[in-house]
Amino acid sequence: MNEHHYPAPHPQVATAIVEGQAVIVMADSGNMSVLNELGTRIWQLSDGSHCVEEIVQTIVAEYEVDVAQARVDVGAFLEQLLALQALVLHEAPQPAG
Amino acid sequence: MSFENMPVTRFELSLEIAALPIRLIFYGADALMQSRWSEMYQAFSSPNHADAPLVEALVEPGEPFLPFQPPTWRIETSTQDGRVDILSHLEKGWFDLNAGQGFLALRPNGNPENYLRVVYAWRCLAHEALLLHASGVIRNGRGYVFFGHSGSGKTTLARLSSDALILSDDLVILKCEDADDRPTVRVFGVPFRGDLPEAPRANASAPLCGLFSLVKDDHHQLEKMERHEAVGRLASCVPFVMSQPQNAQRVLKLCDEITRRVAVQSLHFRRDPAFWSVLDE
Repeated sequence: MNEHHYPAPHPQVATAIVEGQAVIVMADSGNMSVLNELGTRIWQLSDGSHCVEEIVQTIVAEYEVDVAQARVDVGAFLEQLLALQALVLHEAPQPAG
Repeated sequence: MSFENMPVTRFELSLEIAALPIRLIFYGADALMQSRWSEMYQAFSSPNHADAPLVEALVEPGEPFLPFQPPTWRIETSTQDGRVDILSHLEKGWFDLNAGQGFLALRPNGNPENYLRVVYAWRCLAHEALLLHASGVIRNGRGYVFFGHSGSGKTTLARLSSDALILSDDLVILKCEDADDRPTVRVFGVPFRGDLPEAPRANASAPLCGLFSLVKDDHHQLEKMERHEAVGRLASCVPFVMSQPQNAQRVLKLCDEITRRVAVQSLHFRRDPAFWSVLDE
């Protein structure tokens, strides 16, 4: 993964936002994850229309965190979701919907 | 496909589970099978549903459809265009949700229970209800549901509830309803059992007063659970239908609605009936 990739939900993922937190279900395996507030925001931004660097910059703006630290934290979180097969990476922005 | 003209015995079960009727016509079932299945499903017998979805079932000798690999009992399902295919060791069949018909092939030592479990998981979802991996009881007119994965204690709590009506120790059906203009959830019994085969197969339902995620412990205690966690835990206990993302999405939506209506708590318990004292508080 690099800063120019566009993360998007894996086609086998279902999501619900419950009281501000994302519940994600990997339909293939039945595995579930509940994301915290920051994770939920990163998940919402990972819709295929934002590249990794745009997600980092949004988190920096919204949470007033250091950009270097945000790159590390966002990158690590996206890698976790990729490992869970909750996300896939695209080389170009994806159409909404 | 029809076996109406085949020279084999014909035996019919007409059932209603959680207000969803189904007819099963068996060909080739001997007297022992007929007696066993009649007894198993007696409480859910409902003969007045001529238009109910129809499943034709053929009992015939042969090799297992899936080789046995103890200790796991496998049930494989797949779905496409409203048709669910079901494959297990002694049963193989399909059910078309749109056409309301199905077929089941059974080996002589098989039975229709696993097929019905899968079919009802899908039919429930189609009717905005959920088949949940849980035990359920009715006590003093109120429904209690204890959910969790295998080994979490569902059967244990059913066993320890001697003064309650056991709906099932393995699966129950939850359906949202509005009673007296008040949004509630109703829990329904099913004729399916886990490790408590001796429990009567009660065809009953009640308003749900609580959902409890089970935690084995050395004491009894209730813990509040945040709703997002409750939705995730509930959805993880919905069998068979989660393999397609659009259905998983529907399950999440239903779990969201159910948890808006009924509190979900963690129930820490040890092996004695005193857990009811914390539920009664």
